[in-house]
Amino acid sequence: MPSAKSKDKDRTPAWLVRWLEPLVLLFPAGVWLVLLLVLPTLIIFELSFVPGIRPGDLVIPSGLGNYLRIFEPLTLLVIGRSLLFAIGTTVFCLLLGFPVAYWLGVIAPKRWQNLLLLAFVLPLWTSSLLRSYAWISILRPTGVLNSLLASVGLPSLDLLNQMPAVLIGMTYSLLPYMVLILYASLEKLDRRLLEAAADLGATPAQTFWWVTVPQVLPGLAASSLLVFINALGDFVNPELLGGPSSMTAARLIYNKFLGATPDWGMGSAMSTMLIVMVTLSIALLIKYGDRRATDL
Amino acid sequence: MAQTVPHNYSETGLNLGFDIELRKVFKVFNGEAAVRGVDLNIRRGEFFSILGPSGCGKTTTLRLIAGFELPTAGDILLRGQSMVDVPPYRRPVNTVFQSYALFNHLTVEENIAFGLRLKKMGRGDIQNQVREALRLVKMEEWAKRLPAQLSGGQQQRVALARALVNRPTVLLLDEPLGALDLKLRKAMQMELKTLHRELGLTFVMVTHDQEEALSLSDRIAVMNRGRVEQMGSPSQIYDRPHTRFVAEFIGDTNLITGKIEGAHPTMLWITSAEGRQFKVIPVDTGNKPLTSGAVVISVRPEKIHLQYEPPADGLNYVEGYLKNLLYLGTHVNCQLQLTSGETLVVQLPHGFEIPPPDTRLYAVWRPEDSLALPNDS
Repeated sequence: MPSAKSKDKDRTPAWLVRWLEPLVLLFPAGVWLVLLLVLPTLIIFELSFVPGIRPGDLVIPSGLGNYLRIFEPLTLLVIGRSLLFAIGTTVFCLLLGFPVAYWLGVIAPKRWQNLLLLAFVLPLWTSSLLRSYAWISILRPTGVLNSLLASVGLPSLDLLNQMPAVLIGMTYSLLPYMVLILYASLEKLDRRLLEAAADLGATPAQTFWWVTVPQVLPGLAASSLLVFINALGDFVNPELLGGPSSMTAARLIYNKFLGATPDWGMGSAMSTMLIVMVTLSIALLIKYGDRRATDL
Repeated sequence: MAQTVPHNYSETGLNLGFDIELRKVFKVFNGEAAVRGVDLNIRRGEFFSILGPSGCGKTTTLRLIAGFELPTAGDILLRGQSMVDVPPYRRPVNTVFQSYALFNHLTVEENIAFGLRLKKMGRGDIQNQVREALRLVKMEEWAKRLPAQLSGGQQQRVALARALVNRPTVLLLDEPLGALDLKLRKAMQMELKTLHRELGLTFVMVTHDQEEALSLSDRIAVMNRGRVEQMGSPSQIYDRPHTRFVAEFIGDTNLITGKIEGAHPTMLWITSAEGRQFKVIPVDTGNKPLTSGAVVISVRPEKIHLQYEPPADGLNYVEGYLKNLLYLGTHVNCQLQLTSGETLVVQLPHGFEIPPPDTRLYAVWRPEDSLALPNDS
């Protein structure tokens, strides 16, 4: 029998393949990432050390002044409001999304699951701008909601340009993500474990808390984090639905770059801070959230 | 002949001796009946097996007892109490699942403590009982592991401990050893038997493995197509099958089709299609005795004698040529090619000199070593 070595003389050596394969496969996306993500992030990082920089100024890194300004009360209020919106949106998405995902993944008839899922995810396919404008027409003082309330004799609600409108818009935008990821997790739920729990004396409610929730915990963590991060960075909903009282970090960053009184250094410092926060929460999820997860 | 099933208890309303009774239980899934009128009486403290091929309704029957399925019709009683309206979490039974169904987010000891915690038992009591259960299944060293870190046999033990620690009235076992390899399965069979004897609990096991059922059980219910074909002790099931299905499913047997020519309470005269005459002692199945019509004669391979000459009385024999020898370790089986075209399996007795191939042989048996069964399939 001829040895494999002598037969495959003109074959690319294995060590070369091992190096080339990832390079060839990852090159296009890699270029994309480096040019449009890594480089801009580095530029922003550099800019964040320049106080009061305006378009056209020379880049002279000069200290932590921009970061210190983040701790001014007004900026902290904006950041706090962003976190509040993000946490609120996550909670609302969980409360609304979990029952839906549970019904879709566990109870709904198998052959309807895909169609039903599609129906819930459909809003993802429209522009976020469009969705926000739709909410404006629903929530504005003379909008659909108030016409409905008036027709049944209820007092009108002034939600637009207030915090509730932002929460409604963000929850609506991000709910599909929540449902999609939770569904994937719940659909894999091993029903035999639910039977085993019942067999051991657990009522349906106890089975839910002690078996179902721990089983889908990785999915819960992943979907909540995704919603949280997206809500934290959301610019469109606060801008269009929130009015001047709902200034968020994302809007502030926008203003610092493209607003009437640009301050790129401050905007970069806030961007860097947001990036660090998001990266940290993802890192924490990977480190602690996945310990007992099988796959996600 | 001994009565196989003591119907008398439930008929007199005295069900003190039974842990579980199924009365005319039906289960229909999407218009298809998985269980069709099953009656079972499972005695307190016995090792009871439900045996049958896949799709015979045995697992559904067990799930009905556990409460995971609701009967379409009929009643299920646990110690005389109807269980039909009782949800699974309030039934005093625990199940060892075929797939083990261990909670993979909990450690071994947390799995075992699951049922006790739900009962709001004190921390110290839980710890003691979990330790005792771990000792019972010899898994003390693995208490802190997660199920994913255990082998199949170890997971099996944890599943057993998790069920037993709750001290159920009845332990249900759904193909408990089905996923284990042969050697481990044999070892676990021994342990199950020992556990049963030590704990004195009622065990109800579902299995498709007739050898497992015969070796472990006090009594067996053989199921086929949603019905119980026969219920009795292993020896009753093996030696006195009531139906052709039971005779074929339990152990090896040879079937010869024929017709009843004459019937007497203690003897049947049967003629095979080939025209041979057979004398068979009829089986008392508790039903109307066979007196006429098509029958099959069932003869176990170990009950047949081989000889080179036909018997003098010209009865109870078939003739053929030696076709194949099957060496089985403890004994040798041979296949005879019969003149009727069928094959007959005969277990060669110890010391029987193996004849050369194509030797003409006569297979003979005593009337009491064969059975006449209705030819229903």
